[in-house]
Amino acid sequence: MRLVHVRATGFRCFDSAHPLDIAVRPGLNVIVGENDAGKTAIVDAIRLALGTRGDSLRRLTEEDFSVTPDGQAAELCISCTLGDLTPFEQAAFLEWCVIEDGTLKLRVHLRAHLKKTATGKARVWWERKTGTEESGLTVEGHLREYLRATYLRPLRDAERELSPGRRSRLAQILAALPEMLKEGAPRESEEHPLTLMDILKEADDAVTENATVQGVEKRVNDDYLSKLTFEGEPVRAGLTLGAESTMVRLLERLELVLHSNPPLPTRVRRGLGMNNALFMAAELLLLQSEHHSMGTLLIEEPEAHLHPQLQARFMQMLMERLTSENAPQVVVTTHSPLLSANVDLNDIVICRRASTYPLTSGATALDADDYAFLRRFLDATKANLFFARGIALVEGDAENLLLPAVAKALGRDFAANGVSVVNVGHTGLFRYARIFQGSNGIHVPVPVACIGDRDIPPNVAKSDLYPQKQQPKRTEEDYTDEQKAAKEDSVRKPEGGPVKVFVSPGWTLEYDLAAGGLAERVHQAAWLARASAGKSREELMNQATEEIAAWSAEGKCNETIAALIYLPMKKGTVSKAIVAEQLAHLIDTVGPSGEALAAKLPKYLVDAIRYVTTPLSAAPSGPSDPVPGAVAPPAHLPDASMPNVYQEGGIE
Amino acid sequence: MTLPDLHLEEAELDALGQQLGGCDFRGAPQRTFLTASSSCDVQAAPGSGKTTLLVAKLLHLHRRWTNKHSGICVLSHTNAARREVEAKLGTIALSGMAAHPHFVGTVTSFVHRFLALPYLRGLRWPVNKIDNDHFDALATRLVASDPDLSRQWRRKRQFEGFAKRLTISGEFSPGPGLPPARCPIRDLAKLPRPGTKTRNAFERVKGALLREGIYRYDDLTVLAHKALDGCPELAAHIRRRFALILLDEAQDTSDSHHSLLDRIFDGHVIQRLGDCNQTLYDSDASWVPVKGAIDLGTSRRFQQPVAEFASRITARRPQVIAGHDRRDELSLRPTLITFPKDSPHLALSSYSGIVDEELPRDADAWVVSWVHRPTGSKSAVSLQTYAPTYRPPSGPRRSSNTFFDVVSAACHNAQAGASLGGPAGSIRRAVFRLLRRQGLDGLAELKSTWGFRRWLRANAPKVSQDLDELMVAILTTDSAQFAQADKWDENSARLLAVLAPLTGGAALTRSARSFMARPDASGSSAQDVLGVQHLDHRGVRLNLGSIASVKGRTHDATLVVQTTMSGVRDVKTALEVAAGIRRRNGLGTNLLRAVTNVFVGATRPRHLLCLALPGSDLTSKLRARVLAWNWRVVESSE
Repeated sequence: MRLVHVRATGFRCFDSAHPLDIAVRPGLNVIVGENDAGKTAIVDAIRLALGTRGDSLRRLTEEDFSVTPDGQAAELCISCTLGDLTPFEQAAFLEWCVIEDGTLKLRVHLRAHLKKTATGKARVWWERKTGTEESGLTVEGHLREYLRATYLRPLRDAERELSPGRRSRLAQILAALPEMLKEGAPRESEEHPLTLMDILKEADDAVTENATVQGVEKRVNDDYLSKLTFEGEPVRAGLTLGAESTMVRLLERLELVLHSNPPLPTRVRRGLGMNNALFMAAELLLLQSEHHSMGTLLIEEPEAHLHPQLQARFMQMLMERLTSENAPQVVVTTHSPLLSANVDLNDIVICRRASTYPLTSGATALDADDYAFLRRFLDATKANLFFARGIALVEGDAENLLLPAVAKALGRDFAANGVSVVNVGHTGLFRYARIFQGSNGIHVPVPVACIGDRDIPPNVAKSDLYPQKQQPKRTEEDYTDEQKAAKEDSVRKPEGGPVKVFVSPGWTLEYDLAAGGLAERVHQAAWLARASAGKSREELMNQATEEIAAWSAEGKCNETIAALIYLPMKKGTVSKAIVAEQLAHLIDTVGPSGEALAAKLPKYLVDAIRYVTTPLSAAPSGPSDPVPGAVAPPAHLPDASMPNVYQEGGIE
Repeated sequence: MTLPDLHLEEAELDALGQQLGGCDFRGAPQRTFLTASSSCDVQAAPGSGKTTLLVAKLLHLHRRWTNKHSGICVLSHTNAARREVEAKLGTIALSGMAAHPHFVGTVTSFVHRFLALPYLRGLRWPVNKIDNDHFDALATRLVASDPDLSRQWRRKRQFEGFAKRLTISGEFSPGPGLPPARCPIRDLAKLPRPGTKTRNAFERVKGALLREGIYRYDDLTVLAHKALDGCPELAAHIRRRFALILLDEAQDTSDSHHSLLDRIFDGHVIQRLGDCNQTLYDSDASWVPVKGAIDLGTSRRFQQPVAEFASRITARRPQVIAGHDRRDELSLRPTLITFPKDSPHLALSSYSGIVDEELPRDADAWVVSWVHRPTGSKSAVSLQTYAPTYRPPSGPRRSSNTFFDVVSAACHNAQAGASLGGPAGSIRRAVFRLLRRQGLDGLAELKSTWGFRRWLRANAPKVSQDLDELMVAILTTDSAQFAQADKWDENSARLLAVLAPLTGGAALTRSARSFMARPDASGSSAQDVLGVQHLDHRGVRLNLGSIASVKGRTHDATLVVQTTMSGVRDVKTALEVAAGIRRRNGLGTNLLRAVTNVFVGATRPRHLLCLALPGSDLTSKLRARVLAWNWRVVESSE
């Protein structure tokens, strides 16, 4: 039996207008997303509907009922569909099942009501039933036990859980292991090895017979206790290990500790992370040795306290376990790009603003090739795209370094807006983009800007400004208008849903910036990048400014000057990346910024930045009519008030 | 799943007996049954401790049981028998045996729980009530208001008969969603063929009730077969779930249930207990223990004289019954009371005289008969012939078939001090039914009153609130007034006013009107509903009842009075069979029925058995035989 589907309404962020509706895959499910997106609410919904083992009791409270501007919901409902019942499960839980299409299915519904008393005190009343639309029996007895999930909460105090004592989780885990069963009783015969019970009994006997113990016992009894009791009602004390007590008491004395290597004479206190890993290992051990449970494992943020390499090891271990027999079904929530980069894309569900978007093949626009490609190339440096509120996909270091600086100078700080720039290198820009495009018209509502070049050099590049070797074969004049349009169209092809393509109408980013109005800054950056020995930053920058002034005086047009500025980068005498880095620094420290900068930038860049920093509204209809009388902002200027709408024509 | 090893050591047997209040299970039949782990039948004479033995077996199994997800299924015919088993299980703190994975219940509840209801949930058909009486009442009303049926007033009686037996046809294949508006029904004698106007009308009635979630028990049996058809694995799942089936009261399990059980448990371990000589409902039950069945022939209830008489009239399967020989118990000679044909009440006088004289003051004395209510024929004799004040306990239960019935029942319950939740729920359910009959949009998809309440709160919060207020008013202050039939017009107007925003003030549909109809003024009197089931005769309290109603019970003294049906005189026939004047095998249906009833009646008493018949029926030959058994013959006279 496994979880197939979870629905919830009226629960936390999942109000009646945005119900939870998520298909759960066999094996691993990794829910990724920014904070407050609803990841924990999904795990909590499952915990409440199925119940959990251990002492992680979760009660429904007033705060679990969703709140909308219309007020708080008075009712919440969580429904889990369970499928793939084994013949054994179908027999054991028959009376709770429904017969549908000739097979048995189990549905569990939790329905809760919030009632406020006259004094304003809230009371929550709830019930778990089975059947279609709660027509069946109440969840109870063995079924309740069987459904219980194992829940590993984030930032747990693993050391406490693993230490001995009353109600220790370790004792519970040990007691539940099938092989522990025989240890709770004396051994069957002399031939069998001693059981835990025998060992403790023997120790207890030895303790009782110890002369010192007996002496202390005698003194307590004779000197004190006998004087405190009345005649005829003697009370005697005994000093023992208490071996006659139960198995659980015995197990509560055990603790799981990490040994140091090489062994040291005293116990070493280990870090939080190692203890956490140890604790998860113990829980997994239990989960896989049990047969009287459906085997659902809920892990919240397993990355807590684990360093990157250990995170990767943990994920590997989990996936290895999942291929074994009696494998549990696992739901993991995470904010770790590292964890998400280590799992199959198929297993990932993006959670954003209380909606879920599975990346299973078939649910996205990705094809089989894309999955194979991303499996190879989507690494931890790129996996932060699962958590971003806006994504700029770029193909080079220059864009990667420059875009955040430019955005900041425009007053659209990427960091503040939760935007990630993902440098995909030279290939696969659109494969990454397709992650956000749903196959059925439901897209991840994250603005994705693909920034690319049309890559048509200006005519001036073919002039004698450039050495013969550096001259491109075809320049603008060699293309017909149709050919240019076709080239741009091919770059724009992957547009759709939240994905927009922003194409440089010119040549390369550096050339475009220089030709646009930032000639001086670009050239200064180039001089700084070359960094002739013995010259200060100011001198270098001044030299650059003077050189441009000289070119201008010679009557060279902007295009020619831009081409001259770009030449060393084209030749490779200065590194594009270093130029970009210097330029980013200059824009940040010297300016320009705001509207002045916007006016000097190529339009496609401003548009791209505007797009990724404006939250997408999920408005399904076309562009709304402009409000009569409203002043339209200049096309170039950043405008935070206008929401993006990712349907056709929405952005313009 | 195989059964655990059930072998029992001597000491364990004794311990088992101790635990069940000093029983002795060392006898061969008891031991055989307790250790049996394959299919077997037990033919158990009256009072032979069948239920105790069954509980002992459960206790024994419980001790050896280790499987958490596979259990034992204990089935009985009546809830009374189930409660008896559960009570005994309860006293030995064995509640684990009555919970998952085991099942203790009636065959009907088993069929519902494991077959029909999971299937109905899958179909998403509504289920509100499964009850023949309830169905009868509603179906009769619908037939009476159907335009095609009500016009054929000449056939009214016959149609009412059909209405009570409308069962889903076995050929029909149900589909998910709403039940069909017209549901094919099982053929009945004289019911017009499918396709005719009348047949279609009956199919509409069935469909309408299915849409309200009202079922007959037989429907659920049909649906259980459908579930097995539609889910071929289902029977295997049930067999995997239950390693052993114990069928109690096997003689009363109907043929249709036997065949359903056979279909599910074909080749599985099924152990059946019963007494085929006590088969009272023989019209559709035909269990006869297999050859070599375990024979529990010793009664712990009565002594040898009664046992001998009972053995002589074991008509369905001859059995030699032995009485117990506990010397400390009061033993009185069986007595035959004769009376003048025109003064049957004298039989009761003589009986109460004997009881008064020979039994302790507070003895549990009964007068029972085969036929207990008058059948209409003038020459027929029933219990009422002997005790004219006797009234059977409220014939078929008057179920809540109109709005008024529901409201007045709810008012009575509320006045009687019940919590208001139940009565309020039944009124709300009635409002739901009314609005559904009115054909209100959006109601057809709702499956339950619960859903209706939600719907109401969401779609008409004002109506919901007004309705709640009216209900509170009805139940707390106006109870007496609302329960009055002659104030109904006024009261129903009050209710309809509250509902007006929903109905838009439209006139009631025919169906809704019939539900809101003015109550019948000629209601039966309270006396009739309660019945009179005992009378005090010369300071002795005599309990009265049909033989069927005292099945399984033990009395101190029992008088079986002779009654007749279709000319068959039960006591006389039984005596003739016992005396060997009439052969016991090959009896006709009615004679067999009569003898079976006397057998059940005669095996109730611990101390005193009396039979009564008119003096004219006691031939000298018969009298000689009765005296030869060492019985007393008492002639009663004024």
